[in-house]
Parts: sequence; C-alpha cells; structure tokens
Amino acid sequence: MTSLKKPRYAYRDRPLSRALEPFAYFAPFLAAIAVFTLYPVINVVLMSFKEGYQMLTGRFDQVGVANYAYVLNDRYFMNALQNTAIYVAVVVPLSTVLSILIANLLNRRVKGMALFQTAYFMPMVTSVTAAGLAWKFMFSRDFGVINQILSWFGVGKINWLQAPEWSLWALIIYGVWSILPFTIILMLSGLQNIDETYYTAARVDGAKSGRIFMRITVPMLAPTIGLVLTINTISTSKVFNEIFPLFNGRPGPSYNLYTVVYYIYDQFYVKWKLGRAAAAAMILFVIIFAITMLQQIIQRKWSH
Amino acid sequence: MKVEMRGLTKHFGSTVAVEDFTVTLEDGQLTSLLGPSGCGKSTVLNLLAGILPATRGEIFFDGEEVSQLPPELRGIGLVFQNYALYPHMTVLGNISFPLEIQKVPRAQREERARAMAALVHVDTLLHRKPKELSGGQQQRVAIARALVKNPNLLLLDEPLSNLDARLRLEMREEIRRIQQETQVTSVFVTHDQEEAMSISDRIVLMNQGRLQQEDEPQTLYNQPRNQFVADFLGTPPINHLPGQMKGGAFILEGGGASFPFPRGAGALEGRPLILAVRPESAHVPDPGEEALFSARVESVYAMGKEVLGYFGIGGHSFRLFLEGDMLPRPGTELPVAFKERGTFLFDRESGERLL
Repeated sequence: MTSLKKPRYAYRDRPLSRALEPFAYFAPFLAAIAVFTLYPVINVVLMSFKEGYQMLTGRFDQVGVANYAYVLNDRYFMNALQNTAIYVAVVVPLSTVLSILIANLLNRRVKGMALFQTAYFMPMVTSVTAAGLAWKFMFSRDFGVINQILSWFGVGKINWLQAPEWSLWALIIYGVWSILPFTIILMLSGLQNIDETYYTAARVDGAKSGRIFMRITVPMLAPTIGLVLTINTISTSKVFNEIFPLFNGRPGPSYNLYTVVYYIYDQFYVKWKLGRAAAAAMILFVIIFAITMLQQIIQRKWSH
Repeated sequence: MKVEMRGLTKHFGSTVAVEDFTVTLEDGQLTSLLGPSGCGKSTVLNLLAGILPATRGEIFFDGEEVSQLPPELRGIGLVFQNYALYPHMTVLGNISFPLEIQKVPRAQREERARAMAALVHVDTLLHRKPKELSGGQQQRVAIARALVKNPNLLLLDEPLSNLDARLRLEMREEIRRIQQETQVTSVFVTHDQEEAMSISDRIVLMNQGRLQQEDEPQTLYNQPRNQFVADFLGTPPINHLPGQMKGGAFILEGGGASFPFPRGAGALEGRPLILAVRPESAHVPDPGEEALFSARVESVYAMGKEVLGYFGIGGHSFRLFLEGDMLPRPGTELPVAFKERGTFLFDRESGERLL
C-alpha cells in the first residue's frame, strides 16, 4: 500500500493572502447585500424604537417602545392582523390543494396541453394592477360574470366589492387566482421529479388512479408541498398589491380591509408615522418568522 | 404457468423493436432473455407484462390469450432495474402494498408480507425505509413485493445491473434460490452472458429484435446455431479465422497459412467461411499428439488459475488457454491443435453454422 501524500496546500497551512482570496471574489456581492438589504433592515429595527422620528432631519425625541405600544393598541392594526390571518389561512391551503390537482392534470401528455398550460400561467405574466381591474369588473354586482354564473345556481346578487362582509372573500378569490401559477410551476417540477416506474409498479399491481394519487403522488410530493406552504405563507402574509385595484386604492369599501402591509404603507406614506410603520413591520416579521419555524419543525417530523 | 409467445412483433414508429418472436416458456422454469443492449429483450418483457401493447402477435398464459389484457389482470410480478421501492413506505409497507390494493385485510396482508420478507431474508429490516437499505437489500425487498401476491409469472428487468460485482454474484444465487423455492415461472432480462448462463434453465438469445436461439445454457454454448450466438457467449470471445476449404485443407485468408482440416472437406469447398474456435478448444498438443500447424507466440498473460496466450498465424491472431505452467516467451513457434468440441465453421455471408 502506498501512503497518501499530503496535499500541497493543507487548508490551515495556506498563507493568509490565499486564505483571504475567496472573500475578494464575493466582496462585490456582499457590498450590494450590505447596502440594499442589510442597511435597510437594521434601519427599520432602529426606526421602530425611535419615538417621534423625522426622516428628513433624522431627529427623534427618545428611544423607547411607544411605537409598539401604539400599534398594538390600534384597532386598525388589530383588524389588519385579523384580515391577514384569515387571508393566509384560506389562501394558502386552498391554493396548495388546487395547485396539486391542476399540476397533476397538466403533467399528463395530452394533445392541446400547451393551451391549458398557457391559460393557467397567464396570471404570472399579467400585471397585478391590470388583472385586478379585470377582476373588479368580474366582481361587479350587476354586470359581473361571477354573479352571472352564481345566478345559474340560484345564488342571489352578491355585492362583492361594496359590502364589507364580502370584500375579504373577493380579495381571497383574487389572491388564490394570482398565486396559483407560481404554485403550479413548483408542483409541476416536483411531479416531474417522481420517477415514472413508481406509477408503473403501482399500476401493474392493480392500483387505480385515485389510490396512486393519494398513496404515491402526494407523499412523494411532500417536500415540494412543504416548500410551497412556506413560500406561500410568507408571500400571502404580505398581501398588499391586490387591494389597490379592487377597492379603488382604499383598504376595502369602508376601510375594513386593512392588511398588515397595507397598515404599514398607510402609516409610512400616508400618515408619515415612520416609527409606527417600522414597529408594525417588526411585529409582522416576528409573526412570519414564528410561523415558518413552526412549519419547518412539523415538516421535519413528516418528511420521509 | 406455461407462457407462449407467437409471432410477437413490436414497432415504435418505423423502428422495429421486436420482430416475429415465437418462444414458449415452460412452467416453473427460469428463462433468461439475453442479448446486447437495444436487442428488444426489455420490450419483450414489457409486452409480457402488458405495459406495452403488441403491434402483432399473441401471448398465451396456460393456453389462454392475454394479449389484450391490461397489466393488472395478467397476474404478474415485476422487478424493476431501479427497484422502484416507494421511498416513503417502510419495507413492510412496500411488500404489503400490492395486497393493500387487492383489499386484503390488514392482519392477513401483514402476515403474508412477513412470510415473504422471511423468504428473501429481509425479515429483520421490516421497519426501515428503502434509503436505509443496501442495494442488495433493496433488491430483495423488490423481489418480495413482486412475489407477495403469488404471481403466475415473475418478470425481472436487469435486476442486478445496479449492484457491484460481489453483490451481483450473491444476488444471482439468491434469485435462483428464491425461484426454486417458489417454483414461480420467471423471466430474467440481462445483457450479461455469464449471469444468464449461471442462473437459467433456458436462455433466449436475441439480436436486433429477432430470436437467435433458444436452448439450455450449455447447449447454446456448445451448439450455437449461428455466428452471433457463438460470438455472444464465452469470455474471452471465440476466435475467428476467415478462409476457405480446398482439398481437405483450410486455406487462411491472405494465403499466409493453410492446414489440414478434414472435417470441413466436401460440400463446403469454395465458400467463404469463418473457422471459429473457442479459446479453451485451441491448445498446444502433447508430444506425440498431432498438431494442425505451428504459430508464433505474440504475448502471454498469466491470470492466476490460467494462462492466456495470443498467437499469430498468417496475419491473423487468436487466443488460447495454455496448459499447466507453460509460459512461452513471445516470438517462440509452438504447435497448435483444435479440439473438435468448441470448433465451428460458419458461412461468412449468412453467419449460419455449417459444421
């Protein structure tokens, strides 16, 4: 047996200049991250503790938790939290289930599939605002196609966008629609990673498609489903863009549809209360972080 | 179960995968489908399984036509090349899954799965996931899963090709043992001639979608019907000496040499021939024994239990096994004789065996 020769540069024997060399390569990237991500994040954290902060002058009265106290006692913020929670709790599971079913259909090699794929991915290439305006017409009480279809089933006219009790559901329907394509793409890529022979093996043993779907497709898709749940929970927690076009730039027909990010926007750009906006952002961050960690722990237990 | 394939044909567009394939597999036997890659052997397996529809031809299981039946109604067990074990199920879950589909009650399917696991020696691994198993263990589980529903026919698609050399040897003995214990009619697809020779009751040798020969392993080796069969079997491969017969002598092509070969006299004279000799059938004769010709030693390889020599004659070279502790130096001239067994004459055009 020949003895292995020591490599010329064992990692710890390298001269310092060589050890530092890798850092030179990613320094430009680090610089960009520092300026555009790190600095703003730190600034938000600091801002949330500055009371009476003026952005233009940089002055503030004192450091404290008054911003947090205000936000947590603001009934609009509580309403925003509740709306956001309902939105996330409905949109995420609904879009996940729908996307698995649709991706499963799109995964088949059938003629004319390109047409369906285009149709399902349309929301991805459409501007949220333009699509939102289209949905606004579809939700219209008297002329909207949605009420028209519902009337075939004997459902009376719903005032989707003007009735406060329905507006959240209009937002949810629109939210599911806009989040589906990206979710479907993720599910499709997950499905395509499942080897065809698993299906052949089950089919030869006589499994019907329903059982194959429940016992093989879904469990083998579990890692993708976990990823989708995490990504979509984070992105739906930040719901904001969807509100503008549906409700004429207001948070719902009677200011009832604040979401957390809409509240942040409102405090920042409209009311110019930067400290409160930052405090609300911090609270949202803590909530999202906690939910995501919880998801990770649960998924680790489930995964194969 | 007796399996008959009659005129089985499969075309993919204009590509011919299997052409006019007629073979009968006897009940309880293990038959290898052997051939180079792309010869159509896996297609035949998929036709038997019903995964692919045949273009033409019929398949009979015990006299009953099954050509139109879907896979799940054919009563077959299938072992895949990559095993296709469900990664999210335990060993027990994998083995009992076919029974779950058949709606066998839980207690009963667990009992049958355990019995099957014991047969293939994975009964201590029942609660592991496939990724916690070695390749050989995964293979055993795959076989157990295929056998648990008592199939009439077990189909194995290159099941050993993902294993390393030592495991492959072990698993092929295991497959033979399991097959003999269960007596299930089995079809084993492989491109490895040694594997097929060692494991099978019968071998079906295919090339370019067509049946070449179907026989017992030893018959296939000793009585090849054509040159492809002779070439495909045997390591090192059989030697080729092109030439023709003239007056009881074999004239080597190029005219570099000729030697008496009375067996080839008569009707074969004048045709282009290939004299094919297995390396173990060519030998250096003992003193007093008659030699055919003498040839020059080109190189010698001592390989442990045997010594392989490369000899040259008239511009052609051939391999032979040297006996005993003979280690001639390259450049020496040595007498050579051919044994009758393992020496064949093929028609050079058609490849058919003449002698």
